[in-house]
Amino acid sequence: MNISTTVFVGIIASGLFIVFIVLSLLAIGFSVWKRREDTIKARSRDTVRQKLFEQQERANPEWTQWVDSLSATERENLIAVLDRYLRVVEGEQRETFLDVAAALGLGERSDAALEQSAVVPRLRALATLAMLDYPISVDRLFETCSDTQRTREAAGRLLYERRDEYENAARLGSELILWDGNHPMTIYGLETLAELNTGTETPLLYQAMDSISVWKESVVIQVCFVLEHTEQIDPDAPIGWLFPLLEHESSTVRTAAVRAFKQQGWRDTVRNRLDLRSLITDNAPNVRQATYEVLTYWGDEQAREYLEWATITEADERCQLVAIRGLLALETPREGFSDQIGLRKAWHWVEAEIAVSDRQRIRTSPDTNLEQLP
Amino acid sequence: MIFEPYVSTVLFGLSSLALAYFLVINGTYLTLTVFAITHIRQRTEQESYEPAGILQSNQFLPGIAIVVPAYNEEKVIVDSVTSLLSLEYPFHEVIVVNDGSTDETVERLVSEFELERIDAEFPVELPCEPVDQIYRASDTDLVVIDKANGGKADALNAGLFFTEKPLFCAIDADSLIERGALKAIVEPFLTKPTTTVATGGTVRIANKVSFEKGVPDDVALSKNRLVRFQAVEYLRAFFLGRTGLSRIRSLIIISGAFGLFDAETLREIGGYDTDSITEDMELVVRLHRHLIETDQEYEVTFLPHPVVWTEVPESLSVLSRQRRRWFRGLLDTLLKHRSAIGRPSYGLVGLVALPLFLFVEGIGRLVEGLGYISVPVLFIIGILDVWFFIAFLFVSIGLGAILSTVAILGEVLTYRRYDDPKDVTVLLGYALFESFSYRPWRAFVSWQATFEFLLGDKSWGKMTRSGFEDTTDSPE
Repeated sequence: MNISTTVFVGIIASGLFIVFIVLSLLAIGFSVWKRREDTIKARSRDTVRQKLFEQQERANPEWTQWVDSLSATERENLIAVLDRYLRVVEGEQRETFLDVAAALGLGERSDAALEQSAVVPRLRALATLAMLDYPISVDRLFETCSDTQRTREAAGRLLYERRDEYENAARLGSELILWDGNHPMTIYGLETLAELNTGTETPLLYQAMDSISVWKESVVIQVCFVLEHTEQIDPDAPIGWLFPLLEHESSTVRTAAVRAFKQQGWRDTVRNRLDLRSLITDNAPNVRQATYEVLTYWGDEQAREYLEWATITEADERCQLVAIRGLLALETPREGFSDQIGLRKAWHWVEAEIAVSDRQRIRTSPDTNLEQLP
Repeated sequence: MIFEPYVSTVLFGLSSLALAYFLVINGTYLTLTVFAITHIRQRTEQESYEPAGILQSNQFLPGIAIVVPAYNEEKVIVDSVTSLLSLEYPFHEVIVVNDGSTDETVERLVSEFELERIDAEFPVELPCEPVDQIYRASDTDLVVIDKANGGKADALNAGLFFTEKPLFCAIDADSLIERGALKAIVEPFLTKPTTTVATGGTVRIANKVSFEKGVPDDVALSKNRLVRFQAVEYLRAFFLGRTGLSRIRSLIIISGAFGLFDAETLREIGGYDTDSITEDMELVVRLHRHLIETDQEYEVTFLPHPVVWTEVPESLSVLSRQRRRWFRGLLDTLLKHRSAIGRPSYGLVGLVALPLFLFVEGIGRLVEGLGYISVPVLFIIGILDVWFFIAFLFVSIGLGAILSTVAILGEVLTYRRYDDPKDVTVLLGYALFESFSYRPWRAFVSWQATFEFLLGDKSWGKMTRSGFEDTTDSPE
């Protein structure tokens, strides 16, 4: 072994050893520091919280003066305390906390944070601004927050939370969240989009009418999720764009589209135009199953007829169970109906399930006479 | 002696091979580490902010069937089911599949949850051993399928083909899912609805962790040495390994202790393979193959933040049985799916994931074992150069310890489940010490498992589960 090899191996060995020691020290150091920080933070928050309530008791709290008297760490902790309370409190106490936030300059700080290029500080700022009454223009939101899906969703949420202050909050919020239809939404985005489109205002339906052809498939499905779970009452809102999705090549899209009609059953146009016969004969079991569930939800005469027909013709045992459950939830079919070939076994199963539920319901009912139990 | 030069040459060759393998193994893990750390950093930073408004997002969540295979679990089953029923998830049902227990598993469930027998035959054919009875509770979403013994995969199939929920979650009876974990693990199914077919969560060690209402109350490191070695190993495997593999779209294992699947897709591929002794890995590999062969766009994702807590073996004999089974299962799965290894038509799974498991997790372990024997022997008999020996030690011990240390540091910087600095220090000690003890032992066990595999051993081995509160024996 020559000297150069010795030196080489020595360097590698020392290097590895140093890396290990440095990483270990970092791990221990961080764990000690974070634990200490947690303890100090918890203690300091308790103190600040107590001081906040004491100050609130005073006849004239003079928040600006009080906030100025706090140390920098106490002010940071006060912000964290306010963040927690502003999410849950209402009424007079909320007004008080908004005054404290104003004294802290929380609105200005959050507004300034929107200029940052990093996403997370902007998300935090938007979450804070959504809880405050600090004025922020729609233009500013679009200008600073439209670059990523997460910031667009947070800006949309801000518009929803402060919808009384903004004209067209539902439309603007929906536009931000859907954007160009190429970015799937997070659960938070889905939720916000649903909130923005519940009730009288349904900008989502108009946006879909104009742009669905360019939206990504996953976004189309997500929009269907939103429609499935929201009730719209605008009779003139366009729904025609949903029908072609029932013929989409992807069964996942078709299934989502069927479910999207669940809350649209009150529209005569929907009932007249929907080709239920082709839906309950779709070659994908998921589509058929979704159709049976929608029919059960609608529960009208036509739905019953289709469900009755489906229980007999359905080839997939799993789907047949859904159809039978739906039918039995809506009516007691005529005598002898369940004796039909291919139906008996599944029917008995559903009846046995219902019997178990009924027995247990009777048993847990306060008026139960135990002797009545089978 | 006439053969001496040849023996020396062969031994030296083996030692060099072992050294090269150590470099490859650790190099691979270092690469995965880079992918994993960047992902986890982004993720934890994003999770550090709380969005505005009170979310009601429950409405969008798809239904999940949690299937719990149970064999002689009378001591833990009631607690386990109670905990599963109280998970923060609005649309989940718990299906306990009693796999021919000889104890009072079913009776305990029937009495505790006031279950009633459904007096009819289930109309859908269940591809498993004969079902004796099916029980249901009306006030909770609990179903118990009582069937003849057929093994874990058979029990899972019973639940998979019984459920009508769109998603299927398999867990072990002695595991505990954190209360909010289901909501977290389901997220990709909502945000990527067209492509997500499976997601996996992190498995953490529950030995000596106390729980209150399904939430870990006090996470302390067990005093048992073997458990401590496994704590380091699990951190490395889940925190770095699986996150990294998921990032490069090469995740071919989703732990049987906590995985979520699109139920219809699993049924399409016939469910679990009852001949496999590591049915979880085999299932995911088959799933990949099916989706690639049918030209479907899909994603199998690992998420580091949803957690399931599980008890790990505390005795060497039990751990040895478990690890031998895992290794035999790995070899069996690789052999079964050998036609996909290295095939470009299987994309990253064929070109990266399967070769990685073959050469790093499979053959790598065996070569590592050879190195632990041949290098010291050659050094002692004076054939091996001292610097080779030192290089071997540093590469095998140093790189391995660094990888484990990175995982521990990552844990400290992000999730901090082990938040006591004393526990962190102990884990670091074990990260260094494992290279002298635990890793050589694991390599030895891999050799043992290889011989068992060659002899056709397909047994599960007798496993001892202690559960969260008590100790009980369970199945062959």
